Amino acid sequence: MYLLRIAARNLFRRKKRTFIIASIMTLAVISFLLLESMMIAMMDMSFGNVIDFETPHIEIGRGEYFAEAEAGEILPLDETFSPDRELHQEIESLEGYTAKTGIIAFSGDFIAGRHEFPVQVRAVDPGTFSDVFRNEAFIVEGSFLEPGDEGVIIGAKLAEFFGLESGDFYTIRFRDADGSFNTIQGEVQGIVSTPHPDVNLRTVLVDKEYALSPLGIHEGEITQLMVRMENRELAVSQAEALRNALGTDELEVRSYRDAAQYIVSLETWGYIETYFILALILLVGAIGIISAVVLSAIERIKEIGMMKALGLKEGQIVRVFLFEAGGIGAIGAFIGCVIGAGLNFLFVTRGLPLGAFVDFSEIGIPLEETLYGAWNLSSFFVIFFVVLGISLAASIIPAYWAARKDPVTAIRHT
Amino acid sequence: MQLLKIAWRNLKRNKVRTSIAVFAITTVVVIVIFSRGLIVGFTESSFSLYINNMYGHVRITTEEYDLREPLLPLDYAIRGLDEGGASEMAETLKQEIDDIQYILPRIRFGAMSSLNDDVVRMMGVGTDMAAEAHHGTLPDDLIEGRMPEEGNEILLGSILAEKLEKGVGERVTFMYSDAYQSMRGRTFEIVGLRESGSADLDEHYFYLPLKTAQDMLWMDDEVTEMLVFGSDAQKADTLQAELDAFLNEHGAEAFTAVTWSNADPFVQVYNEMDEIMFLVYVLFILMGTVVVVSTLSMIVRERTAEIGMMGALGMRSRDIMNVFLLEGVFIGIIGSLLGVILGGAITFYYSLTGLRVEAFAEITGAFDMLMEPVFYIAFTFENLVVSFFLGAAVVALACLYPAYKASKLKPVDALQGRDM
Repeated sequence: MYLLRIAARNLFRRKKRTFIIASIMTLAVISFLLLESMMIAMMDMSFGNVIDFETPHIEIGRGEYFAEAEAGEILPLDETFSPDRELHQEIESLEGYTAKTGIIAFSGDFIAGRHEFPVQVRAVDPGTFSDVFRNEAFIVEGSFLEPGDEGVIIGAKLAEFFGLESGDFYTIRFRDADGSFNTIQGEVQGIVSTPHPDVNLRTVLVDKEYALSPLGIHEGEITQLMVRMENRELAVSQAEALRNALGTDELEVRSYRDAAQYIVSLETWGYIETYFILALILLVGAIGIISAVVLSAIERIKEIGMMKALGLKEGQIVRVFLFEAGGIGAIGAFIGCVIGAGLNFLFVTRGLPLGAFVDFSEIGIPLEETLYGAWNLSSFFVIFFVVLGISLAASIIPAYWAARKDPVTAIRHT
Repeated sequence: MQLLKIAWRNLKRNKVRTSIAVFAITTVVVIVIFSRGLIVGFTESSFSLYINNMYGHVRITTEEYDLREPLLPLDYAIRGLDEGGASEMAETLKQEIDDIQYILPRIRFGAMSSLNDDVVRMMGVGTDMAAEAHHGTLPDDLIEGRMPEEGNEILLGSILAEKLEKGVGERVTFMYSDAYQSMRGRTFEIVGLRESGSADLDEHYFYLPLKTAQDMLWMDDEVTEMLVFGSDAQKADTLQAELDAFLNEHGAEAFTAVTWSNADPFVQVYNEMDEIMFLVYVLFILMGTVVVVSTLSMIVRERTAEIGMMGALGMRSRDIMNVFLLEGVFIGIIGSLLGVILGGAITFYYSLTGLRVEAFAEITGAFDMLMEPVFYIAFTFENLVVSFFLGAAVVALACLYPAYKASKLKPVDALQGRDM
């Protein structure tokens, strides 16, 4: 306790130095907090868009279907299944279950006028589709599908490339379940402009009832059963639970994370980057701490001698310096947390206009124009203690160096 | 000269303290050199893939083509100035604009092949093989066989070949739509395999002689794009302006000339990131400088009495300031120099061996982005020089403050040992 008091007092003897060195730590804390907030926000947004428009929280399909879909470019139409009552019951009994819908996803060439373009067609059940997906809310032209319609819903980007408006004619050419070429045609019924760029270009929705017979698929068969849950956290654990409950090899249960692997790797990469930057700043911070301890030791060389003469043990002197370094780290980290919280508050409420820098829709990352920060309380604690720990660790060697100074020469000499 | 000596001697008075300050600067300079090398290396390798394979320095297409590029339309082709043919247009451009070194005329079109029960989609590039030989990218990436010369010879991406289960000397049949949108098939002979390192290029592209492509697609003397190469990729803007002016003059407004840096959104993102990164570098140097400044402040404090003495002996306050400033500058220079040596060694090492980043390759595979999964960190003299001066200059500027304070001490106060 006594040593702590000495250290605290020493800390404020050179206020300027304490604060200037602490400012490095402050910077480390602020950059970490903001980067982390940005990462979480970006991932929320990306995963959110995947869940809303591509693959919801949980999808169920045949293992072979997913394997082939990932390996090849053509979705296999012969890997369909018919969900039985038991499966429906299991899904409905999941914690946080909200809605489910079955779709048939297949590859086709969208043809209009003189051009064609490969797309993913989703034959959907208009009755339940919008309980799970949010495409309907983003219709910008025309109307959404009704059961029995022969029309399609296409994305705004595809419409732009083809110069299509609602009411124009389309043809989709595909290989049916038997492998022969077949087509469906009709009118463009609606155009959606979603925040998910890939959906705007490559996803075409058609009514399942209409598509079934040209596809050569029996009533009730689907390629994927899509399940919406209350939130992302529940999805992964409940997917696991469902997998165990079903206990079959034939059907595979995937969470949104399995389906959106590229975003998961993007997330990993983002974290690697954040920690790399943090590590570099902390390295410089550690040098700052070393320098601070050495400077105060040189300055106080007489005092060290005096302390020794008064009978303080080497270990105690070491601790005085250790506490002092810890104090610098704590001050820096605390100020950093306060400023970081303030900046993050602005980030959360005002948002960062990402669209001003980058046109994400061009790149294909499902991000929107304005990015809003996110709060993560645990990162405040983590960074505070990391900085404190680094400060203490960095000061060990210089503290021993200071304590080893010979008392006699220390007092005699400057 | 005298001041220099004083400053130098003073630095040696407490070696531990000085070396820590020097070490701080060394560290931040190494960090800056490494990050710059990483980013420059990464962008350059990616940029050169874009330039050499996709856009040239400036790419000419028709405006309609530019709008609908993902569809790979064949009916918005370049038919030449006043429809006089693409080859004549290329010749005219070369004559009229001095900066143009060469032009790669190309036709890109979609093609398919069926394999077992699956369809493999790919992109065919009909290109002038003589010009490609001069350009060099395709011959350089050749891992087996030779370049196509005529007829039905094609060069295949290595991953695509694996997917099709074919090798050099074998035949493949591809389906494609010609300019009149009729489905056709044609059998080609694989004469070479290409490995560029970029998964996208190696998995989806095959190359064939331009003449063959024009014949089979019914596009006589037409191309979909022209990749124009000037003397320097950095001067693409001026080349683009010249091309634009020329095209407008000849009433060819339907054409559009786009520089490589504007053609792809990824390239634009990198370019903007570069500017933001400069701030980050300065920030790092500033953090290192903090250590130097606090060291220097302590030195000034320690020598308060000496400063008083110097003042009393008639040394002008400017000289006093210079002594301390020089000490700071020495620390900055020595630290930066060591940083340059260490950072140079690290970047040089990684510029040879490369840094493998598998995680990143996985991500980029998911996007339509050209890059190699190995980072060759750029080792450039420019990087070392810039980082050195950045380090030395920032430290010198920051040391102005403690030095100025030292010079403002009044001799009497200073001699009495009053603290600042």
